[in-house]
Amino acid sequence: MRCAPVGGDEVTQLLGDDARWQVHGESLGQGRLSRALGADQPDPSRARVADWLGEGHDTMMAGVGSYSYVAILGFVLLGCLWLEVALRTRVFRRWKRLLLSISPAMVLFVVWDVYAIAQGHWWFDPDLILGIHLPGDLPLDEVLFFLAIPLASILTIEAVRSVKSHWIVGDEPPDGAPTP
Amino acid sequence: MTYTQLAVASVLVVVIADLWLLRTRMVTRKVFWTSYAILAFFQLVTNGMFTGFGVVKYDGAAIIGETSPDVGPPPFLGEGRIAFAPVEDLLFGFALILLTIALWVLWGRRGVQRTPMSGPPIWRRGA
Repeated sequence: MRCAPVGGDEVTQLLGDDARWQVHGESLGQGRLSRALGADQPDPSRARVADWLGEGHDTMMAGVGSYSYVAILGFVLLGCLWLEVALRTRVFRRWKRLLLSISPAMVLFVVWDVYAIAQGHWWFDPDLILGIHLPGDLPLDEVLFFLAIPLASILTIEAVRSVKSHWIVGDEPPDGAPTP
Repeated sequence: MTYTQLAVASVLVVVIADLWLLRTRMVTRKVFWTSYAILAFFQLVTNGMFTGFGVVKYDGAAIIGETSPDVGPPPFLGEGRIAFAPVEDLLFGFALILLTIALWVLWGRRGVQRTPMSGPPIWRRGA
């Protein structure tokens, strides 16, 4: 796990003798930093400092920071919302049907997500998500994921129907007459 | 259960639901597979961003591939990964997409906001 907290001694070793580091906007000498990172202090910032000290901090999303996850979701929405206008998918006008479709899928997949997080199947870089957690240690970002992806799915199938109006979807009116 | 097992099971459960429980039969329809092809392409792109930038990381004990590295992206292709993401994510995504679309069509079949139907595209206004 990348965010295993490190003890003050390890940080001291990493820092070397005359290192000075910016912590929370303050320039700190080694002694103060060691104290700030005291081993008895259950402070997540210790893990973050450990990240800074690691070589080549692996976030290419550095400028986006804690909005990285939602920025990617923004990319998803950018890719599908235009369909509502350009292909007249009329999904938002059918918002009750939309909610009735998204919510059961969301409940099932959130249950899976909470289980997977509890089992350690996957985890999230705390620097790249909003930092708001729901019960079950579920990041808010994940809940938004289970809104965005089902929405994109429904917009996509309605967009395909818009272009291929003769393809059977399965919800056509019983008499088969196209509805205006 | 591992992520691999859960991912396979989820696809089986959702396909069974689509065919026999909800009877939406989306997996028999061209419109579904066309939509899925589009969605799967974008899934590879966005999932590649999630996993390539290290927003989400995976435990090697739960997937076919190895644990995501502490620093830098996991393999792009191979070693149980596709576009940085575990291949299991494709099954996860398929189950989520199929379930959502099957439910959408189910409500339409039952007359819940069947209309207004989608289309035509704006460029076919006069058609």
